Amino acid sequence: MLESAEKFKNIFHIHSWLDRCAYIFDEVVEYGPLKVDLGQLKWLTPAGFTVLLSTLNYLDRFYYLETIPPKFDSRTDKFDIVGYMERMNFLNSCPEDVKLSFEKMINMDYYYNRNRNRKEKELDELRISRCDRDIEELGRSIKRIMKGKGLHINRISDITEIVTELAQNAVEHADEISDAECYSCVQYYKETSTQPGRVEIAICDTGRGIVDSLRDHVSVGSTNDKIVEKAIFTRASRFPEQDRGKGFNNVRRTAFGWSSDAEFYVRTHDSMYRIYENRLELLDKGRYFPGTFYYIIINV
Amino acid sequence: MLKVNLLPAVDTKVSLIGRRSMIPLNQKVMKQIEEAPYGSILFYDMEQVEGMNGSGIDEVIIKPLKWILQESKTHNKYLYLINLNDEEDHLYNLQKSLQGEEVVLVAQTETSLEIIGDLGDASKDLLELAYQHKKITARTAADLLGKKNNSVSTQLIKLHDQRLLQRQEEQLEEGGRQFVYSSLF
Repeated sequence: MLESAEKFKNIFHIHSWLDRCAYIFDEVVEYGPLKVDLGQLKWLTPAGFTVLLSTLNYLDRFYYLETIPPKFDSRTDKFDIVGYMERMNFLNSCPEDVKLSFEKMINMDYYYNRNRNRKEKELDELRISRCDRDIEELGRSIKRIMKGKGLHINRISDITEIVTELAQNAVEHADEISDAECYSCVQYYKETSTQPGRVEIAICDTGRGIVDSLRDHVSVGSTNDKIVEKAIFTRASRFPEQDRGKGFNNVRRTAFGWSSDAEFYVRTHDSMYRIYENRLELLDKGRYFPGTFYYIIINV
Repeated sequence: MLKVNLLPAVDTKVSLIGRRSMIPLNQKVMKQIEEAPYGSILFYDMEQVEGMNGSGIDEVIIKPLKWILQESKTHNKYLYLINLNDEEDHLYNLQKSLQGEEVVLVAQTETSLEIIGDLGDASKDLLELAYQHKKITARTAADLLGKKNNSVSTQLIKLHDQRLLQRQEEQLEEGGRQFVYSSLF
């Protein structure tokens, strides 16, 4: 059984979830029903959304997912996680069997029939991009939404730069495996009495990951960590003949140019890393699972 | 002046986003630039451009510009931009992408010019002066800036090498020759 924790919030939660997915994938060889228990889930960040959705869609290719949806009790829970998931378009993009489980166990009509006025201008929901045109539309949507939130135009350009570069990368990785896609979620949180205003950007794919993509294009014998480092800090590319490999540098420069205390994480192959302006820190090693997961938090 | 057409066949706007989708546009642009006559001044009309990111700018603007620099002896071509769009934040995106690159661009604005890329303050002042006057010699520029003729002359040669100013050689009535530098627009 694949079981979620209460919070799906930061890179450690993501790493732990992917390890559990990898374990299922390695150990449960029988292609049949797989129980996914989201019953304890109470909180999701943009990164949690993208990772949960991408992994469920990936696992759905191999298993029938019998899902226990999150529980919301209006008497005890401050936050309606089911309502939030519906509002973020999770149920429009998740596997059909997952959606059916939600509809079987929760009165989803209540959520489906809610007023969703002016959503296209105010809420950047979970998006899936499959081609270059989708990335252009993603860029337009981010600009529209962030403009509506009153962000400075240069900061909107920065967000658009980060998202479109990483999403383009994801779509190109995704091309190598059929049905692979780029998942993105961008959220702007206004300043509160306890937290500064911030932008959270989460992008992921279910491609083969940075290490396997680049292995044949860097020095023979490079360790996995070295390969990831080269992808992020140099112009190493799978297409050296096309003089590429600037995208990641642009993203890093933009994130840290905006805010020197930006938090930038990547989980790929079997490891999670924190990316600093000039160095990469390995946070933990786990098990291999397809995909590359980026999570960026910038204090505004 | 020759306009480089950035538009795909059907659309009325183009997004300079990503690498893969920009490679065909790079090829289209390069064909127009290569086929333009020797000494051409080419421009991109940025009104045709909506979204952009670093990879797209690199493919469609920086790479052709590097080619123009590299082939300056055999092709002697120039490239500048017009109609930068504030709504699309073109200037900021271009400034960011050209940072640390070996190319500098000029863009025509309603009143003057924008210099995009890494250029020292002294060269910037000189370039702005040249664009104010449209045509300038090292001697005139040195007088106006209160600098030595030699150092201004060296800077003007560099700005010409960077394809930011054109240069013509003129015969002086009193004998001898001098270079006259002129703006691209």
